[in-house]
Amino acid sequence: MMGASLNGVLAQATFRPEFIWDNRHIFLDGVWLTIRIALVAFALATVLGLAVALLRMSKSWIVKPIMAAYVNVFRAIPLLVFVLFVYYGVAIHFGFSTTAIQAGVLALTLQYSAWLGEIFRSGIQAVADGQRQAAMSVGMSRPQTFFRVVTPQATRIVTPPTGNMFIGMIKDSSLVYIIGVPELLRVSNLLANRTFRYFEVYLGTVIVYLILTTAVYFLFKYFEQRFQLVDVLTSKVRSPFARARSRQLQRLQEAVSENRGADSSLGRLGSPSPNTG
Amino acid sequence: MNETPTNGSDPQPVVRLREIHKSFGSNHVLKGINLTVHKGEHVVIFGPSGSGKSTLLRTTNLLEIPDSGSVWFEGTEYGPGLDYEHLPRGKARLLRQQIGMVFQQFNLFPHITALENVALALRRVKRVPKPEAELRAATYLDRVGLLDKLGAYPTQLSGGQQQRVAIARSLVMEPKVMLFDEPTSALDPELVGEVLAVMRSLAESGMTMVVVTHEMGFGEEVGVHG
Ligand SMILES: Nc1ncnc2c1ncn2[C@@H]1O[C@H](COP(=O)(O)OP(=O)(O)O)[C@@H](O)[C@H]1O
Ligand SMILES: [Mg+2]
Repeated sequence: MMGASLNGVLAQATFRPEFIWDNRHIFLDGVWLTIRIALVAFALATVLGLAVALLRMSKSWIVKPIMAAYVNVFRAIPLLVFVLFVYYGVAIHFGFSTTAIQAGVLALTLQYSAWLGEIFRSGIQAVADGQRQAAMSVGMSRPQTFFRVVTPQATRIVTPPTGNMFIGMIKDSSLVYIIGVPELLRVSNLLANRTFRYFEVYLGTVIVYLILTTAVYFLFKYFEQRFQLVDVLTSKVRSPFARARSRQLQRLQEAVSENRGADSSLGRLGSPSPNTG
Repeated sequence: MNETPTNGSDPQPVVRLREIHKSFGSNHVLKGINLTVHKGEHVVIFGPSGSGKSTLLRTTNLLEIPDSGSVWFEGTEYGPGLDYEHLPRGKARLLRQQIGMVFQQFNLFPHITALENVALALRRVKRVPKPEAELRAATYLDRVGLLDKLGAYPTQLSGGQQQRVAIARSLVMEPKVMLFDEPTSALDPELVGEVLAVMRSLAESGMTMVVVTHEMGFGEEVGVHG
């Protein structure tokens, strides 16, 4: 007995990296569920977060405090506690036919909608007021101003913090292990408890999370790069779309220079030219 | 505050402000302003910082709603208790389309090119099809000497160039009046000239203008002929 146990301990003391590879199907099953939970919860939280942001900017004395409470309450509860509360405290206790996965997704969605709502709101409010005034001064309506002028600028502002939130979602999705959802952390725990190969198992878990979050990091870096603005006519970095647009603008320039002076009422302003006289 | 109406050869009024009052909280900024701007007239407004010059211009195109008094424009009177309060918001938009405004901080849309800045309202407000809107926008950018900057984004332009794009963005809507709110005071001194030159040509072309400025030069050369 004693000997066997000692042998076991000695055996586990030797690091066997191939153990991770041999159990890859377990890690893959787990991470696949992690990815699906994170994606679904993040998509829902984004939609809900947009609603939260818009409602939070409402001037209504009744909507305003309700949304402030929504944001502050969900941000104040530890996520692990909230996951337990939603599943055992509410779903099971009151006999809803909610699965653990659904309860976990709901808990993540609600908390992240509060965080994302604040990010979106600050992004919208960070767009200078002069932008709205300029858009309205040429006769644009409020919805046009919001969608054509404010939203595109706010999107650029909120992309980096939103990327961080998505990485946070992948990491936080591990907390639903506590209600038995077989995502990456849960399957890792089971494998470790079964084989006692704690180092190999959790090293594998760490590596998989690292790969996942790094991939998302670079994805969002790519988005941010897409937002960099370069002169359409003179820049060297060219997508086929940018090339086509550049040719379009060149044709416009030619058309305008050819028509110069055709309409004498449209004289040139500010530079000495035959038209200004 | 001190208005200097000039060039009053044509008596036909375009904009008339009547007894405009506006407060922000307890800060009573506009205290019964009366101002009539006639066609082709150039009104220059001087006044210390914080005296309500910007508020007055914003009220003129109803970006700010006065507490009392009215804005008369082209035969319609807008103001609390009048038409405008009970009409859909579209009414104020109709007025704004015909009153151009140029801001101290340019306020170009940073996420689209110079061309798209100028074409945006043509397309979305006047529903001009894209090729036609862009041709007109390019024509106005050419007028302010920026035909080679069609594809540039605002951050790639100097302050003077940005302000000229902003002027083109207003002019392309073919406004009846142009409001300028300290259009050169955010500019480096060497860039002031190019913007003033555009404004001077515009004034010579007969555009009705209300200009808030610290540039005494502009006041002397354009405003104070009468
Ligand atoms: N949106 C606003 N909310 C509150 N106070 C404002 C607002 N706009 C202007 N004010 C106040 O009104 C006064 C006049 O401002 P403004 O019209 O910008 O003056 P000026 O353009 O002559 O410098 C200032 O005291 C300013 O603080
Ligand atoms: Mg001002």
